[in-house]
This record gives sequence, structure tokens and C-alpha cells, in this order.
Amino acid sequence: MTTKRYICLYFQVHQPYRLGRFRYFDIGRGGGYFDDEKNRSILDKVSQKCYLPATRLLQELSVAYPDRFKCAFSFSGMVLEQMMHFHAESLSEFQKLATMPGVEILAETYSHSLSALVSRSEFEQQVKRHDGLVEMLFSRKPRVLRNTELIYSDEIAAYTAAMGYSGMLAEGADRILGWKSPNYLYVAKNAPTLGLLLKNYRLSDDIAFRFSQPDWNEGPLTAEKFVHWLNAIPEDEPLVNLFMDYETFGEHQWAESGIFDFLRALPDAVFRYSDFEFITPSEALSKLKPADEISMPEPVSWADEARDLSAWLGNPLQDDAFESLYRLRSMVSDCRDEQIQKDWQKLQTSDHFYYMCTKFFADGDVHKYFNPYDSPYEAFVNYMNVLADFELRLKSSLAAIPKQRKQLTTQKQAVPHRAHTD
Amino acid sequence: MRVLMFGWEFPPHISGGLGTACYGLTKGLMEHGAEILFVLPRLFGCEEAGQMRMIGADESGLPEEFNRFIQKGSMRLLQVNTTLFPYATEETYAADYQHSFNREQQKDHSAMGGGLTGLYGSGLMEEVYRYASIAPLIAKNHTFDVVHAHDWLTFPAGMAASAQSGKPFVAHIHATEFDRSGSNPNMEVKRIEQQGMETAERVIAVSEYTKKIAIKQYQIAENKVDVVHNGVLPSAVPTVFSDYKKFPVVVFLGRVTFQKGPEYFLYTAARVLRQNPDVRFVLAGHGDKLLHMITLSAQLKISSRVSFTGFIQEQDIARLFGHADVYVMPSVSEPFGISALEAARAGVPVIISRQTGVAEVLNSALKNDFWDTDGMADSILALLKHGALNGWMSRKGQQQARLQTWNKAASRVLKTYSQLQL
Repeated sequence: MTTKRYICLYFQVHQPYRLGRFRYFDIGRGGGYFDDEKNRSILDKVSQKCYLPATRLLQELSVAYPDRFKCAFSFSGMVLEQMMHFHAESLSEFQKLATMPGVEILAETYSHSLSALVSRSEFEQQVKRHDGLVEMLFSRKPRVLRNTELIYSDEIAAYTAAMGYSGMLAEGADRILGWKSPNYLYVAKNAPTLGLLLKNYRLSDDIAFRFSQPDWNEGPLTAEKFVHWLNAIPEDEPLVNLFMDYETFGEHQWAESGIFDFLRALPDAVFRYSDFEFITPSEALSKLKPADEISMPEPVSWADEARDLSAWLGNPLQDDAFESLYRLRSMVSDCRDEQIQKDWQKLQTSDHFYYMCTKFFADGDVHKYFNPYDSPYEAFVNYMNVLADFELRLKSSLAAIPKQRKQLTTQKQAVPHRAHTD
Repeated sequence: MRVLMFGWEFPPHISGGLGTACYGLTKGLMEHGAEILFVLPRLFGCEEAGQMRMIGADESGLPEEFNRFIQKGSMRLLQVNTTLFPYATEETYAADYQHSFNREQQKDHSAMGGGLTGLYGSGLMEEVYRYASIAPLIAKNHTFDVVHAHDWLTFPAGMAASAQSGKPFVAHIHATEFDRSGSNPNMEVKRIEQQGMETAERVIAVSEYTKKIAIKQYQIAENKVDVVHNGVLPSAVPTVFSDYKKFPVVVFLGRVTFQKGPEYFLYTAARVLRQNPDVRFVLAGHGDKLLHMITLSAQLKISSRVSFTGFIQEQDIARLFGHADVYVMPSVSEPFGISALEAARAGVPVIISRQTGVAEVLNSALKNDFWDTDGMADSILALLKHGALNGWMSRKGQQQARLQTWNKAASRVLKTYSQLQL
């Protein structure tokens, strides 16, 4: 007898606040780091090409296959904020989609940051802040977390489980899985209450990266062919996790490539030619039995061939920028200036460190595509100038608070925000 | 006295002290009544290789006073198209050329007449001799009493003009291959320098320091070499002082090359920051070591206190000097070092390495060996700590810099001319 088998679709929606050019002579200017014009126009372009058409298509599919078509989203706080400011139309389409059954919203860090790697309390604060925004915009509280760029480790799993989440998404990296298949539900080794969904990167990347590659011998990819591949998966493997950037639809893969036709045809092909059903992460956690436990002592991500942290950290530029940023954290915790707090969120976004990546080899194309700077050095110099200005503002803001009041405010703040220490 | 001078681009089209020196010296000589036929390599806006033409006062793009000299007839400006530019080296010729080209293109769109690549010889040496091959033609068509050339790139041209006309040749040494490349000189460049100095009836060195190199490394007779220290021009842009001091500022300004010792600036910075973490170091300038220096600052974990400006315009230099507390020139070997005089003139206390020519005229500057980063750090800390010392050095430096005029330098050059067999 065959057990039921499932496809879990999850889409990541994120746009960073890109920095404007900030020269040495701008240090001391006191803010104005982000290129509003550029951020607005990129969001507008991505909305026209992806967010609006793809979301409307998913709405149609949800209506056409009620209770059968399902998917999950994670929105960074950065993209939600920008949609609120620059593109209400996209946001309202997402909100409309989210009211449909079978659509789950996941938790993540507000800033789309790497905070989990450096500060437990910063990570927790950001996840809570993000939950708050999701509740406000989508009227629900996420139960499953996906960390920035699918970065996962045993330690992060422990933080996440302690916060009460029932599951996490992670990369199904070969070097972790070995002979194991990603197509099962797992649990975290050191946090047995935390279920793990691992990305099937081959099938995910067939859609996200290879779909329109001219030299791909499997192209053009049709929904039927994709379902044929799903059917080739051993029958006792119950869960295929297809995780990808939402921008795959219409932005990374242009509409002309047929990506929307593929998405439109997929549910029908799945129902017609296979015994697969769609499932959300939360449902998978409650319906499936974990096959085994998984341990990832070192952080694993979904980026590049290496699937490690080397897209964001590891070269001297990234490391010193990252350390310089988080050296300011204790001061930021003491600061009540709202604008400083907002900028602190935006400066933590992982993209800033991605732009400083110097490993321009196998993955160079992708890096260049996503990099608004001419070189990683330029990105670094610009970021460090911004950080210098930010530090000055921070210090002068703290200096403006009389000593006694400062102690009082820190104590008050400590109750909701600083329950945990690093 | 009629001088045929093979010189370099005038400010603001300069990448270092050579252009400034040509400008100042020419101006000084004309003030003393000399007539100058100035051969100007023109990198940009040229349509055909080998083309040359006289430039009228209305199109010279030079300051008003120069145009008056041109109108009076005491200056003639002969523009020759070439891809030679100051500080070209065999290793970086192609890349530097492309860089200067791009920068120029951004600055002045109107001057561009289509693609330049492929017009000239691919190698630097080839271009040096192509440039020299035009010189006899110039010599034939003009009358003059002396041929004067600045640095090795123009020596072959100077020698060719001298041979054609029978007029004496003066070789002006602003830098030698030993300064640029240390113990690893390019032997072909060295050979041209050697030949230039040997062929010249007299040699002008920009400092005693450089004269010693001519004697020791090139075996030039001591009594054949005259020392003419460079002058300093009043800045075309007044120093922009700012009362608002955000942090102490220590400045390096120069080409970011081996010769200028930028890494010693960063090692020194690391030492200073251990004592005073609020100091900001500004490394201003472009060069083949820039990316390496950015990485080094990150490796030293000081990048949050170092700003890199890249190539910097005159206006920004004026702003930089306006708020700088200390100027540091840690050159490994510096024949002169005009920018130290410019800093002193703007009232910035100067620390220079002992391996510089400018030390001979700027007694007030603090001096350290370039490798003595401890000593340099101590000097910086002392200048930041002791306002009285800083103020005294600022005033003293300004006085000494004011004495160092191009008019004075020009009268020395005329003295050299007077010793020639005319």
C-alpha cells in the first residue's frame, strides 16, 4: 500500500534597502543612507514582473483547486516595509492570497539578517518583531521558521525550538545528508520537538535556476516532465520540498521563458499524472512522521555550490564589516532614537555582505546579477562610510540622554526586549 | 631664452606631482621672461595617432594667466596625441590607460570622439619610441635654445630633438626607477634613464636625495647635477575649513603605489587606534595597490576607522585639508613629495618619512623612517594630543611652504641653462 506523498512549495520574498553612494565627506551628515529612488524603482519593476502576476496566478490556482493547492511564503520585514511605503498594490495582493486556505506564512528575521550567527538575543528580537509585523498585516502568527538564506545549524535550531516554533526549513545539502534523502520529515538532533523540512535542491533548482538556461539538455521544462521526475522518486519518500525565491517567477526567469505557464499547469499535472498532493510546512509537521534526526554543527545555507556562509562571510572585508556592525549592538540596545533603530535594522540585511563577496568564480554570475556595485571593494568602502556615520549618530544620541534616565530606560526596555542575553 | 619642453598635462588633468611641477615651473620660467614651446601629450579627444597641432589661447583649457602668456607669444602649446601618461609602467600600462580613459570620459563627454582602443602600440616602450619619433619633426619646424624633458617617458623624445637640432639637452629627474620599484627595477626603464642622464648636458634633480641616487645608482658626475626643489602653488581652491569637528582626522594623499608606502600608513593607523580609537584615517588616491590596501585595512580589523576616497578632485582636497589634523607621507622613496608642501601650505601639520626630498625644505615636519610605524604612531598621537605642538607646526609649515615658490625654482633652472654651451 502506498503512503500519501506531498509537495511542499515555499517562496521567499525579500528586497533589501540598497544603500546610496556615501562618501567619506558624507560621514557626519547624520543619516540618509538608502537610495529611496532606486529601491522604489526596483520594487516597482519586481512588482510588475513578478509579485503582481505571480500572486494573482496563485490566487487563481487556490480558487481552482480549493483545499488542494497549497504553498508557503516568507516575507522579510524589509520587503514588507517597502511594499507598505512604495507598493501597496503588491502588498494587498499578497494579503488577499494569504486569506485563502492552504497558504502559510513563515517566520524569519525582520532584517533578513545574519544575526543568528552572532547574537541570540538580536536574533530573537528580530524574529519577534517580524512575527508582530506578520500578525499585523496577515492576522496570523507563524509556527514554522525559516532563517535568512536558509542558514541552519544545531545552535540556531535550539534557539528556534526554545522560542516555541514547531519546525524549521533548511537546505538538503549533500554533505550533511550523505546517503539520506531530503524527501522525508526530520527532527533537529538537539531539539527533538523541532521538525525539519529539507530542500530538494535538484528539483528546486530545475525550476529556479535551470528553467530557461539555453544549454540545459532537459529544457524546455514542462509541468508534465516535472511530474514525471516527481514520479521517479522512490515511493516510500513522502515529501518533496521545493524551496525558491519568489522572484523566480517573472524576474529571474522572464515571463517569455514560459515560467508562468509552467506554474499554472503544475497543479493540474500533479493531480492528473501523480499521486502527489500539495502540503504546507505546518501540515507536513503534523501529518508526517520524522524519519530520523539531523545534526548540522556548522551553519549550512542554500547559497552557491558551497552551501555554506561564504557568500556573506569569510573574506576579510565581510568579516571586518560584520564585526564592526555588531560591535555597535550594545549601544544600539541602549538607544531610544526611533530612526537609529530603523537604520540599525536595515544595515543588518545580509545583502550588504553579499555585495562584498570576492569569490567570483563558479557562482560569479549570480553574484554579479544581484550586486548594485561595480566591485565588492566599492560595496565595502561605501558600507563602512555609512557605518561610520551611523556610529557617530549613535554616540551623540546616547550622549544626549542624561545618565539617570538612561539607566531607567534600559531597565524598562529590558522587560520585553532583553529577556535573553548573548 | 627659448625652451623646447617635453612636459605633461597640467592641472586639473593630473594624477600626481609631475603635472603640478610642469605647470609651476613653466609659469615661473615665463615670469622670468623665458619663451616656452611646450609639448603636451594629449591622451584624450584625439582622433588619429601621430597627430599634433598648436593650441590657441581660447582652447587651451588652461588658467587665465597661461592664456595671457599664449596671447603674448611667450608660450606656445603643441599638443601631440599619445597614450603616454605620467607614471605609466609596463605592468599597469593597459589597465591604467583604460582607467584614466574611463575617468576622463565620465568627466568630459564632449571631448570624446569614439573608441580609442587599438589606435596605438600595445606596449609602453613602443609608445615611448613612437612619441620620440615625432620629436625631430618638431625640432625641425621650431627654433629654440635648449631642450628640457621631464622623466624617462619623455627622455627619448628630448634626446631626439636635441640630436636633430644640435641644441643642448637638460634631463629633469622627478623620480627614478629605484624610487618607483625599489630593489626590483625595470632594466629597460633604468637604461633609458641612464642614457637620458648621460646624454644630457646637465641634469636637474628635484632634491639632494634624488641627486644622490643619480650619482650612486646611475654614476652621473656630481658636478653635472643641479638640485632644484619643487615649489608649491597657491591652491586654486581655497581650503574649506569646518568648525564642526566630528573626529580627529589623519590623511594620506597620493598615488596608492609601492613607492608611496600606503601599507605603512595602515600599520601606523592600527597602532594609533590602540591608543585612541576615535581617530579616522583617510587614504585618498588611486593606484595599483588600492584594493590590496582595502583588504589590508580589513585584515588589520581597522576598516571601521579608515576611509578610502579613491581619486580625489581639487575641491575635495581643499575640504580634506580643511579638517585634517595630521598629514602623513610614509613614502618608501620620494624624490620630492609636493603634496606634503600642499598640506603644509593649507596649515596641516606634516609627518614625512626620512626617505623624501621634501624633508630638505620642510624643516618643521616631523620625520620618521618609513618602516618605523611605532615612531610614526607616536608622532601622530603627540600631534593629536598637544594642541600647542599642532598649532606651532601648522604655522611653521605654512611659513616654510610659502617660501617655496615656483618663481624661486625657475630662477634656479635658468641658472642651470646659463651653464649650458649655447
